[in-house]
Amino acid sequence: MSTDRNRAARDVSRWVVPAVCVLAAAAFAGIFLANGDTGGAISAAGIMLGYGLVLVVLSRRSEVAAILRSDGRDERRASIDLRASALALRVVVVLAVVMFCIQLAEGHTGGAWEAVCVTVGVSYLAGVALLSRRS
Amino acid sequence: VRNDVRELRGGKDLSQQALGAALGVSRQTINAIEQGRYDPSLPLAIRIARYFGRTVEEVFHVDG
Repeated sequence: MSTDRNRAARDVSRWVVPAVCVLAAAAFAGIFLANGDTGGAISAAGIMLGYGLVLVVLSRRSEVAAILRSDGRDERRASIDLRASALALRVVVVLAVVMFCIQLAEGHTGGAWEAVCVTVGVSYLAGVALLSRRS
Repeated sequence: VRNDVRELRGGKDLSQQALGAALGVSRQTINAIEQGRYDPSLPLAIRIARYFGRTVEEVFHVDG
């Protein structure tokens, strides 16, 4: 029973990322079309649909594609996904701090980079506080 | 952590794909465990040991 449920959950989760790609393609196309940019709409939608299609086609052969597609609930793949996400976040944090410092040096405050730094900092503190109680 | 998964799998004449399917993990994960590139979680280590009718200590060996 629970195995059937797990299999059903796996089958659903395999299609979440491709579905998001289709939704993003529609959203991007809508935004570009609203601005009268038909070429941009076709390009943006094509990139997102192409990305989703590549994941669907390659996920059986390539582990990278399988991880990007969130195919299966393999613990090692989940660990790779988590570590890659943490690495990407660190890169964003370094970029945000550097850009914030540049912004400060130029005499500007209250910009987008400041908001990113505050959001990441508060989210991290909240995450540590919550997760340290739960685990 | 060293382990005897490759030998035990060979003894049952199983492919990495078949063992992965039986344990609910990917073929690549079985390969990574066999090569010592990935240490499985305790639940997976227990599942592996039970699959081969062994204890965790008989399958996984901590050096030192």
